[in-house]
Amino acid sequence: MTSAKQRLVIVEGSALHLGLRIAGALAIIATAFALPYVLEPFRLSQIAGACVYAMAVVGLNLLAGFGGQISLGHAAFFGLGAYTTGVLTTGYGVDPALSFLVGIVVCFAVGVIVAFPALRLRGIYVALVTLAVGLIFPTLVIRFADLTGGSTGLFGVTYQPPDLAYFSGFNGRVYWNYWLAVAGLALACLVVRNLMNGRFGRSVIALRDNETAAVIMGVNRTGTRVVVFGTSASIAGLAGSLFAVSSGLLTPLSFSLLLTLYFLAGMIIGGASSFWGPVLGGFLIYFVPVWSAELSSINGSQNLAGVVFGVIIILITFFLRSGLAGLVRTLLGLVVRVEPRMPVAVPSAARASLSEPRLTERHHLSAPADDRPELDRSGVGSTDAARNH
Amino acid sequence: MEFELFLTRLVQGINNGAIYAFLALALVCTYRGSKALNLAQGELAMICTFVSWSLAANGVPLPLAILGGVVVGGLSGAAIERTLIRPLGRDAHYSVLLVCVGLFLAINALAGFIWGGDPQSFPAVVPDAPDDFVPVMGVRLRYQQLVILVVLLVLVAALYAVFRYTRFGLSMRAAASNPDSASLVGVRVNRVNAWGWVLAGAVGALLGPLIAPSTTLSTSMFFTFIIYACAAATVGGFDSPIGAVIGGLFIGVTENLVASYVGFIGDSLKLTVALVILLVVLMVKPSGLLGTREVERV
Repeated sequence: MTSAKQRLVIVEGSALHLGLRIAGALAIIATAFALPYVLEPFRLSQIAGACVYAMAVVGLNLLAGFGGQISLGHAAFFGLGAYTTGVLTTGYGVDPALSFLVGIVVCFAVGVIVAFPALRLRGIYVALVTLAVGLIFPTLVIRFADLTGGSTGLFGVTYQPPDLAYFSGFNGRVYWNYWLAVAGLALACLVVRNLMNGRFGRSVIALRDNETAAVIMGVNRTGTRVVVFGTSASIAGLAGSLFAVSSGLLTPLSFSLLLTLYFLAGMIIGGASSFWGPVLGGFLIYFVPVWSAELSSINGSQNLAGVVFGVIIILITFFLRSGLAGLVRTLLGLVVRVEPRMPVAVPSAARASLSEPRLTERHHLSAPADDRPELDRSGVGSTDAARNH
Repeated sequence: MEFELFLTRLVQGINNGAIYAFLALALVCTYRGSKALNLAQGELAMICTFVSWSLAANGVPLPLAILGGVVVGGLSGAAIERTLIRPLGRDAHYSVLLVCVGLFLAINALAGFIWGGDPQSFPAVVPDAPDDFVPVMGVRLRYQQLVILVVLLVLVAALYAVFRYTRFGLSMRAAASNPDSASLVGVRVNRVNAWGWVLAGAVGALLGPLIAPSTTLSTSMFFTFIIYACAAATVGGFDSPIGAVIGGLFIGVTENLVASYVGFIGDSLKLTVALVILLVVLMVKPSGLLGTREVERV
């Protein structure tokens, strides 16, 4: 209790709380606008690459973090989006923006198809289904080489910047790819946030924590799981499409099992089931290999990143289940405490009429009192419990 | 002539299938006790093969070098079970899978860090020159392939005998089927599960040096085999050693025959055939051919 006094207490929904949140959002937006002026172009394109990875991790987190269904095949959705954009723009001259939409739809559809077999199974068998799907994808790319360029790869995927002064300079294309990636990441975060903050999100979490109880409470299991799988796949697909236009070269090897494992590593390290942890994780899986390559030019530099990730995943599984996001939350909790808002006072007359029958009911079992407030209250309590788990 | 070609393809399928079965056997050993799908099994086998290679390169006779690798494999299996798997508890599929993913990344990268990314050639146990084969009905059975098959059959027979006829095997089956009751009647469930990991590590470490002469020794040598092994173990049932062998041989033969006789599939979709079989089995009979039914279909 003594430490509680030393902490800064912020009431949820108060002017201070709101102000801090708005300030945080403004800071992020300001950083996004400032980066092109501060960083060298090649650093900026690295940031764009990291945003694309972060997007895929955000998508994976919807399925594996919030949904609790581990996927060992997310690189396939990433690749499917990338190749949809690649093939449509280079082979058929489709506008890249339209190809993004097609990629999203295709990935959603494939995600739904994969969701159905995964629905009927549990534990490692779900992982096996997604593993199989994830590994089939690169073999199909190699098989249909006429369309996809096969193992030599697909070249020249680009998205011309629009005719604006901002994008007209020497580095216009870098700026354009950067803004595409930032916008994509923001969109992915918003979609996941809006999905999870509400009735649907509570269903997803209830299904993860106790499937039987959730179904009994009236959660539509098939519908919820299928939508989660499809949305997660289409976010990864859009990330793939953006990857395609920013990298310009697609090879089946870029979408191997290793990429899926890196996405998983990003999700776990950043913090599964948190909103901004996966973004952090996505940046880490992009930048740690880059840094370790810059620090040392020995042949094992890329490998050292793998050792680091592997060890960190194991450590986090044991000691820090909520990842870096959870660590930051705990540390912040030492200084700041966000308190829920006091409930709005009910007029005293109404309160008396509500509480009295309940009191009599407790004490005199015979009285068949109106039990609606009791029911309401228990309903609220259980959803809160589901959210807190 | 046509029939001879068919036989050759069949034998080739059996040879590949034996490798899948071998690794699937290791997967089964860990799954029976800990209910863990050890994705890092292939990587563990790979790094043990590198240990054997280093020993052999430093003048240790090849059989002893392989034995050294096998011992390292068994010990690391035990160490992984004791430090990383057991503390997570029995029903932690998700965490165990994540730990295995972490092990996969870490072991793969560690091997690359120590031994470099270039593939190495590995000496064969038996003569492996182009003319070292036994002709049977016009089919060439190479010595090295025969060795793999024989070792596989001996291993399965031994494992079956141990599981079926010894007291240790009985406690292993008891621990796998009902850990709580087994520990109540005095079975040391944890120790038995640890032995499963020791066996798995040793089996994998034995497979590596047998296939390395033909695949060459590299950090990625087990990437596809582990997938095939997962498919084989699923087909056979994840807790049945004999099922793993049948599943491995079935997948090896099927993919080879389909790839040779269906023009559309060809060599490039071989892995896809195995994965489609895996998906079909998961849809139709998730417990596999010989596995005990414990998968809830909901």
